[in-house]
Amino acid sequence: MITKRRINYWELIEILAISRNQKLPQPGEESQILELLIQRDGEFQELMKLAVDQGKIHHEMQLLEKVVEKRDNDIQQLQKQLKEAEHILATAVYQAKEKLKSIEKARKGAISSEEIIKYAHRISASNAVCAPLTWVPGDPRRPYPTDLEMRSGLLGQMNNPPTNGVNGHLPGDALAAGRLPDVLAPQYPWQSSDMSMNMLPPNHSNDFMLEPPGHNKENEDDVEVMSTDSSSSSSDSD
Amino acid sequence: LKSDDTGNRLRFQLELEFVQCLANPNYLNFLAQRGYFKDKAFVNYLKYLLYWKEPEYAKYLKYPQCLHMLELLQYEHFRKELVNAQCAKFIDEQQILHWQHYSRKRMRLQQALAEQQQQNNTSVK
Repeated sequence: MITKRRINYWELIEILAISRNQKLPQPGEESQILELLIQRDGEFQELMKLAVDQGKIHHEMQLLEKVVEKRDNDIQQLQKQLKEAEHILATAVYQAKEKLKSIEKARKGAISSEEIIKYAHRISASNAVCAPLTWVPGDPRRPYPTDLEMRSGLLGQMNNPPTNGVNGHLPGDALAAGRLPDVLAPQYPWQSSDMSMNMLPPNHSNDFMLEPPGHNKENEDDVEVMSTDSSSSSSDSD
Repeated sequence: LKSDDTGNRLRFQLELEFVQCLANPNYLNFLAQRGYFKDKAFVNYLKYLLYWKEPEYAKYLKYPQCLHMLELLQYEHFRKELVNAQCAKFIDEQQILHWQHYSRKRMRLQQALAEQQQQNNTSVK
């Protein structure tokens, strides 16, 4: 546009120059117009220079923008990688913490294998948790203390001092049990006589009317109804 | 001091016996029918007895299944249900079945072993 305009002005100058030869001009006017034209031309020259400079600057700007874009992408990449690394580390730390927790838990509950074996022997040899292999319906043995065992224990003897029978066993009970030799044994291993002196029951107050601190377990929703109207006894046991 | 000691010893023995009696569903039915489970003091006592769950006390239990009963007894619903003789009978049956579980398993294993030995003998011949 500027060059076109420049050309037009030159054309104008030519025309003026020609018309100057062709008619009698007012010399003042012509020189004024020429002055103006020269001025305008000068201004355009300057504008041209400015445009070229601006073009250069614009080009530089574009280059810089490209560089900035590249840097931005680099930063985003780094960001992604950092995020990934953080995630992996967080998972590793979490798992390590869980492991430490379970180690601590196991350590707290550590019992010597000997004690466990002794206890296992104690509860199974006496058929307390596992039925005797020869058990048939009609056998009076049970997975809980029977009436007889209960009566011949400390509790039974406190409330019912033995008035007849041998060793606190009423003859009726012995007959009902049907297994005399075992029944007459006075020492049942379920009453411990080998208690260590440090083992005291925790609560020294005998007043159980006082509300103990803590919540009440009144979660009725959690307990299944065990007795139903049907007489079927098949169901899933614990 | 000595009498205090003996007192504590005695209390330990009594509570050991009593907590194990709770494994007997017929006894629980007995207690329920006589209204013991409605007595606030008794319910508090049952909660107190939960200390038997700690390993240092549990190791004295010959019938550790009593602890399961003790846990269930903390729920009012369970205590109410135990008034029914049917309920107690059901629990009794299930307990006995469960009690026989390992003996039955062992018998099956023994049978399987015996069969295998028989097979080995016939193949050797």
